Amino acid sequence: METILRGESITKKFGGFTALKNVEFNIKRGEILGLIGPNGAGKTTLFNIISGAFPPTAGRIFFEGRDVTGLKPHQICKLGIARTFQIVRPFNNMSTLDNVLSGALFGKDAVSDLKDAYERSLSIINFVGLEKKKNKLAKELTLHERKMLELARALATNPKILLIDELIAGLTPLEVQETMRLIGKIRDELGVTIFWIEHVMRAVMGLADRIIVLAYGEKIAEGKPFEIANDKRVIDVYLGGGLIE
Amino acid sequence: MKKASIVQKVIILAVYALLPIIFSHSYQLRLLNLLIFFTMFTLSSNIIFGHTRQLFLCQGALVGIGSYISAILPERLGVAPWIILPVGALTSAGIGSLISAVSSIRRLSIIFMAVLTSSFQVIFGELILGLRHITGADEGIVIRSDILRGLIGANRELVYYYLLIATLFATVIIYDKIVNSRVGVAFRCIVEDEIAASFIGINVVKYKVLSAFISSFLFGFMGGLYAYYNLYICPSMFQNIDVHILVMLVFGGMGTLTGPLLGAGAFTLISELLRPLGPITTLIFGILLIILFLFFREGLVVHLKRITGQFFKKHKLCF
Repeated sequence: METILRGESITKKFGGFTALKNVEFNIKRGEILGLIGPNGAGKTTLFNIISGAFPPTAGRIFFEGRDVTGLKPHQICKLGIARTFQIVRPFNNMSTLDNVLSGALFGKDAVSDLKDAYERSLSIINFVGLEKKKNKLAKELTLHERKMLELARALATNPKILLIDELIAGLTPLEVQETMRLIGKIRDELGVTIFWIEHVMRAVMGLADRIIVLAYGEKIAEGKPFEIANDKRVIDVYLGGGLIE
Repeated sequence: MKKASIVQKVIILAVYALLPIIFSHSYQLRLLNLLIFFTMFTLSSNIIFGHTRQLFLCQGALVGIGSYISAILPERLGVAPWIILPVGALTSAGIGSLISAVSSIRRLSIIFMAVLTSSFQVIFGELILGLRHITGADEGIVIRSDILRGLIGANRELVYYYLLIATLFATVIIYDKIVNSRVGVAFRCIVEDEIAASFIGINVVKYKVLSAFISSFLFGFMGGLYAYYNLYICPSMFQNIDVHILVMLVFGGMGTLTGPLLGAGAFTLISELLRPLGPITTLIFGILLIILFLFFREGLVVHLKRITGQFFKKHKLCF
């Protein structure tokens, strides 16, 4: 399978603090790649660099073979890289439908016709299961629904790869089940490659094709879920002996 | 455009068009004309502050640039005022866009933007005073090139009134088109969350600059028109009008169409009533602006909608 997104020795320093140190990664098209690590490992920093929030101190990002290092967030999005936020940030005073519509109007292959954009938005809202809430304001939704809304808005930009920053933390077991099924559907039905940060180990282990483990800004392991689960360093640094949360 | 929205605009237009029948005295007509000027300023301020939250405290300077260019150039260059009017507007638009571009690229917070733009307002004032031989400094300029020279025999105030409401309605229709288009969606997203907006592909800088361009163009255009209407301009006309415009905007309701119309209508009359008080007017408006920002940020239109909405709800519950 061809590589869709590749990071070449990504380093990020904030003043004297090194948040990421020579991190390498590559994601193949159609893959679900999990990204795990203890708090402060640099996971969200890596997503911020990929999505253009800030440039890396050193290193390069290649998307479909093209160097995209240092591009602005809206340029990155237009190329086909979408993201969600760990702390959700939907447009609170806009309806669910308008939130998703904004993604459809401005993302990759942006629809300039409002009517077409509405149709695309409605089908995505159905896809994530928010059809009953489509006229509600985002601020009136529950946390789970707002997370789904953010996912829908990101999908409306029609991405080739989706960076998901913690979708499952704080959800009920039933919601976790639904969300996992949805992530699988995004890859299988929409053909979107997924790069996924998650704390809930069971979910990542069950769904990801491969997993990267970060600790203190460095990549300490990479491999298939069962390999990660049995990696000595990962168990020491991250799991602290127990595998399942 | 939806049917309700067309009906609403036809009603507004009819009200404006019929006002001179009731207020036909030339003093009243002059007041109506001032009202339209301030309505236009408030609409323009709405585009930049109401729709993209860029605080421009140099609205007076942007109006003034249009005014001075339109006052000075026609005679100096021997060109018709009609040709200079857009030149003044484009100059204001250029400067407004530049200010917006600098602030949005450097991601200035609203406080620093206020500092930057009010400094620009001061620079403009000093420049007018400094260029005494061109601008007449404090004494101002008397303008001889009236755009309505041919119609001098007719009721000048009335002719200007209809010219102004034509301009107002062209602006309202364009405003409506923008707000209900893709650009309007971008504006809403930017007001809600700039960062989230940029991650769904919205070029935040581009849309902020676009809004600054449109609104500064209108400021400059109306400034030029004001010079030709008033036939006299001086620096004090362009001081402190930001406070007045912002009071009208915030009172009426930011991000709405009827808000600026109502706000400008109410406060043009109030400030006319307060005129005997002299400079204290600005003080009163300043205090009012603080109060509005603290307690009435949503504006009249939103509150009215809420009250009427509750009324209808109650009605349903009763029957």
